[in-house]
Amino acid sequence: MPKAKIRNNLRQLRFEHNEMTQQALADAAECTRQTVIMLEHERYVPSLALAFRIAEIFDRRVDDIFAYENEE
Amino acid sequence: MTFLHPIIALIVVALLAITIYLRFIRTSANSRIDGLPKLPMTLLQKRAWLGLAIGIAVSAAVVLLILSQGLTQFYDDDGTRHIFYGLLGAGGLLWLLVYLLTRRPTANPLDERDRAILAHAPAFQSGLILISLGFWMIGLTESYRDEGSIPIVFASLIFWSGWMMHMLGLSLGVIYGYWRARTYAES
Repeated sequence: MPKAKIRNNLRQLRFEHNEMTQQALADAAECTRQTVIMLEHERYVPSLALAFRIAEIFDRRVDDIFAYENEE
Repeated sequence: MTFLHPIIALIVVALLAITIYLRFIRTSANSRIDGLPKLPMTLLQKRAWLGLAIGIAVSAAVVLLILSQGLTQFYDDDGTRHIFYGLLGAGGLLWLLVYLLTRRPTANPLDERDRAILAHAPAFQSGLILISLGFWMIGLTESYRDEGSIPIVFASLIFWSGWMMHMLGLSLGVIYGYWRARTYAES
């Protein structure tokens, strides 16, 4: 099965939103700061629900933030 | 058949060592992900370490109590037996409290990653319980083969050692889950 990676620009978006802290994003997205760190380092693939919550926080569409990348 | 004891112990230790090497050391060297900052501990992680500390403290106290009186003799003394039950009961309640507080819906909630790690932890738990049963089975069979029967005290010891492994296993499973999620970047 080909490996896939979900890229994201969360870190950049946080800074564009008044330099929002990881903890503030975690509180708003109802997840832990550890999960935000893992997401920013693209070491964790969020559930659809979490992806939509994050998109809502930044007032963007999910595919403006997360992108599928095939590593074949 | 006593000459078999060291051979069996050696085989068991060798199998455990091979498993640990293949699972943790060799695979880690190939797959370890570098560049991640130091991660803040989640609530579940803190509770797992607390649960592990409780489990180790209770297990150590019980083992010392049993060894002080002898493996089969401690059960005949009412006082020692009651302390034994008290230790396991109090330790178990404390451990349950740690995890019940974590699962409480109104408490600081676990996120989806924590829940996934917690959901996988029982696999570790059942593995540890099976290993402890294996040790009992081999040890008792080899020690009491000639007699053809085992003292009744072992029924209790087998159950309570399973309970201790249950306590330790969940905490170890959660701690392992976070280690794995960080090392292999999966949850």
